[in-house]
Amino acid sequence: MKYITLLILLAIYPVFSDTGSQISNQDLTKPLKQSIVQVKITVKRYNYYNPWRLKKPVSYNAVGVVVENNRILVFTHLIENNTLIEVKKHSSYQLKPARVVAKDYESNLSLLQVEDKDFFSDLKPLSFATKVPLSSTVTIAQLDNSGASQKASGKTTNMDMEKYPVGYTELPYLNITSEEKHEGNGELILAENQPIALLYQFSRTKNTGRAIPGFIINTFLKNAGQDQGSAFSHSGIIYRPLLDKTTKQYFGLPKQENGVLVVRVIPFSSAEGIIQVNDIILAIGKKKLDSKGYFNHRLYEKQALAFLANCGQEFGYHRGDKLKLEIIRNKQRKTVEIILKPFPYRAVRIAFKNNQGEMPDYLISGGFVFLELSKFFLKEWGSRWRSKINKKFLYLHDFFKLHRSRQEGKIVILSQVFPNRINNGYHHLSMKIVHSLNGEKIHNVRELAQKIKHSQKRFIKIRLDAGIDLILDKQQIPKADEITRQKFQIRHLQNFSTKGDIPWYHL
Amino acid sequence: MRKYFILFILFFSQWQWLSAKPSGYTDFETIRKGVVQIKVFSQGIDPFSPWLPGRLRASSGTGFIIDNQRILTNAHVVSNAKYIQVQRHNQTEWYDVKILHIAHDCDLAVLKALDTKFYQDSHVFQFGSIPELNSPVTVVGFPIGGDKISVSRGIISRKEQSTYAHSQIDSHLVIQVDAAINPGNSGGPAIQNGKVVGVAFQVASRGENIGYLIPTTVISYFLNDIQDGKYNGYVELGVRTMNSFNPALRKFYNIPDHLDGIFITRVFKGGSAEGYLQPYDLILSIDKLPIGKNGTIVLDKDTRIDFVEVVDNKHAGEIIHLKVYRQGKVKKIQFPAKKMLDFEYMRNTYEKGFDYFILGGLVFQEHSRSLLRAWSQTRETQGGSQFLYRFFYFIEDKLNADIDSDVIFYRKLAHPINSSSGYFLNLILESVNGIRIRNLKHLKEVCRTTKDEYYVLKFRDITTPLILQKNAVEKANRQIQKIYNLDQSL
Repeated sequence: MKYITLLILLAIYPVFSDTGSQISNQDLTKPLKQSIVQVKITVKRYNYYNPWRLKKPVSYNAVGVVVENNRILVFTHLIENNTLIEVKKHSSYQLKPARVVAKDYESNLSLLQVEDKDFFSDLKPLSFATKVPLSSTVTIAQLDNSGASQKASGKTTNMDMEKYPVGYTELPYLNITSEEKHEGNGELILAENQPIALLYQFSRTKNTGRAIPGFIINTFLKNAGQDQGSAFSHSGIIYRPLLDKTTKQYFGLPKQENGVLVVRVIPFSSAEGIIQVNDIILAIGKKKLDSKGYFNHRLYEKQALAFLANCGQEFGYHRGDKLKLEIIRNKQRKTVEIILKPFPYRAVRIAFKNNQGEMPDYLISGGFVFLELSKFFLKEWGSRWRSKINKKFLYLHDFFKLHRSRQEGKIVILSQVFPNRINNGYHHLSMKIVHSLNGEKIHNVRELAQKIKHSQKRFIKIRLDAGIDLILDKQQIPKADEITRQKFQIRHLQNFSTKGDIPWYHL
Repeated sequence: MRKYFILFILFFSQWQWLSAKPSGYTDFETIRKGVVQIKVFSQGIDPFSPWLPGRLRASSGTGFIIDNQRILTNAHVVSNAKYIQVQRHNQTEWYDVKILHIAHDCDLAVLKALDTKFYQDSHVFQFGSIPELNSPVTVVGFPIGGDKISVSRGIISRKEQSTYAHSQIDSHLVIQVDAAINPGNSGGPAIQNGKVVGVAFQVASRGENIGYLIPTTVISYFLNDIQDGKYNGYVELGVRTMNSFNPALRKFYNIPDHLDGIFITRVFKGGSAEGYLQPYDLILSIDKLPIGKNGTIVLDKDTRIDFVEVVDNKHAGEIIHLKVYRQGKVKKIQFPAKKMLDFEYMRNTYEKGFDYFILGGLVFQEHSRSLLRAWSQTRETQGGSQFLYRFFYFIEDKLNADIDSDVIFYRKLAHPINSSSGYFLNLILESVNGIRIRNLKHLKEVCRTTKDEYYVLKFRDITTPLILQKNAVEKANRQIQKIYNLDQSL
């Protein structure tokens, strides 16, 4: 529902014209405080171990940047699962409610709108420079509580790629060093008074931070509102460096040439069916790759092949475009073409970056709690979760976060048991993987619920780890569920997210 | 169920020489003549660098004299020992001893002093039976705080099955006492009415005054086992079980209401039950002892205990008699008890070295608890969750279906030939040149006999292989052998 509303609203506003790459001279003189707002966000936090409970809500401040068409740019990871967003500008102490009108996980960027039409009357939109200077002195700015702009200095060092806080797509980030303390909650970074990036992470111990460069912001702004998908694509290729001569020789790569070895192709992705494991990628979009998969960018030195595949707009590669790859397969040279698609969320087996804003799926049936394995669930064990959780889950998390083929399902687990007389004997069970129901493989919690509901048999056999059979007596399930509701006060015995039904991306 | 507290074994790793007055119980005069202080110099092998001699360490423990001029103590007191000496109360000389038998799966060992003078005017202990709950017990030994004999008293608090910390995997009957037991007490006798009713061996780290004794059933199992001059060790039933309380589960498998017993959920490869029991057999009784729905039998008037205790008391070859409810019928099933060799890797390793294989500086070993521990203390454990998972679930998840042991690439001896092999570090080897590797010996064999130009090493869960050139490996091996001081020819 939420996303449908979003679409309609976006349609009302004309698409921001393509001025992103133009640097306006007005920016130099305009007082900064007119373009930055304080954003106060309250979020609900899901409890992945007890999904029917919510954790204590938290509130925090973030920096919002005013952009064209009366919108405010904020980070997705900060507004995710919000219950209230309020904004405050330089000229007033009043908090005005705002709401999200566009959201992208991959670029970590979202747009807010303020109900109060006059809010923007004394604000001026900013636009971001497309070129980001490396090894330059920069200003890091935000709005303080009194409404004055607060500035600190820093330096840009280099550019590299990673997955942003809630995205599955590797995108470039700008490394920033600064002697001062920052939050990494959207502070505006300016070079020679030109906005160039937004700070999304800062380590107070290392005095370094990471920022989203302007050209990523511009791509997001240009596409926000055109449709609901991310503007950023994903190659779907996982590769490893090809450094040693023996391996090169074995795979038929001449000594003097360089390339990378494909170790996995993500199902449903751009490369699925086109690129194969053990292919060597020599060049992408005419750019020759080195033995670690880097090409020489004219501005940003060495950048990985993902730079072209994921955010290659400057080279003319947009979502939906064709991208040529030069490869060696079985010692034969070939040119293949992939169509750039966004990262396929269907390929995620153990959610580890975002849950698409949804409450985790769960089912309580007969007192047994079933849910899907996710990194968020594992992190409920605290910061030392890796040493605390069961080694099987750790292994699955490390090796099987993404599907290896289309047929695999999510990992459904029996996490705990609400004890009653009916499930006596099973009370001690916890953290067991569900393998099958009446002999049929289970792919997710929703399917498990449907199979239980529609089973014609009185006794339903659920096979768990270590050969344990969980037998549910269909005649007794309503009674046990009533106990879970009454005695343990669980109002909702199931939750299935809507994400499966929404064409969030064109997959 | 796994215990949540850690069990500590109790040998004392340095000596302190403090003076203390000997205690003076009336019957203690005789008892102390049979109690022995044991000084040990041991040298284990570091599984991480199995080609190097291990660190020398000094420790001490307690033992006591039994028949045939033997000294009984804990295995962990004399594990990896290179030189052992003993002394009794008021003796001045230290006497050299040799190990006659050592049993790591039940933490017991028997020693013998080389000089019979050691045994002059000594006391030979007799064994009692399993003591009653709430009955008093005296623990004698040489714990921390001095080299003089020490006595503490307590009562029998509990009888249960518990993990023996020395091997980390074996579980047998233990007797819990509240007597003060401290490092150095290990191997000392717990005495009731002048007879030994247990050997002090470990404590719980959580809770207060929770000490454990090895009961006489386990001691006599060990002493019987070594009568033929060789220790064979414990047998395993080799099954996973589940209680039979749940009404739906009972109905699903058509279990009549009047039957108690425990369900088998999994039968392990190589265990005694393999080929005889099946999942969802309901085990009704063992050697005519009825088994409850929770899997317990009556041990004595004090305690019900898990039915595997009956199997635990059998020697290899003895018959296990079961009554089983299977597909609507009560069946009698019997089979010989046998040792489960597949479990061996889960035990701590002592005395033995660690076989390894080096290929172009890549060091391979079979998985073992000792290797796991040494490896986990290094800082290079990236990607190691595969090793961890497979180690702990090797039998339970049937990962041993077509191999004997996992072979892990756990370490790299840096050399140009392996400079880009870091990607594969800590992974389990699956095959070499298409041949599935069953164990380390097999790996050596495959590498030695291959006619291919390359070694194509495929690791588990990883699609692309590690490639080494055979000729280059041979050359590199010679250099690596020299650089790293390896005695084994590679």
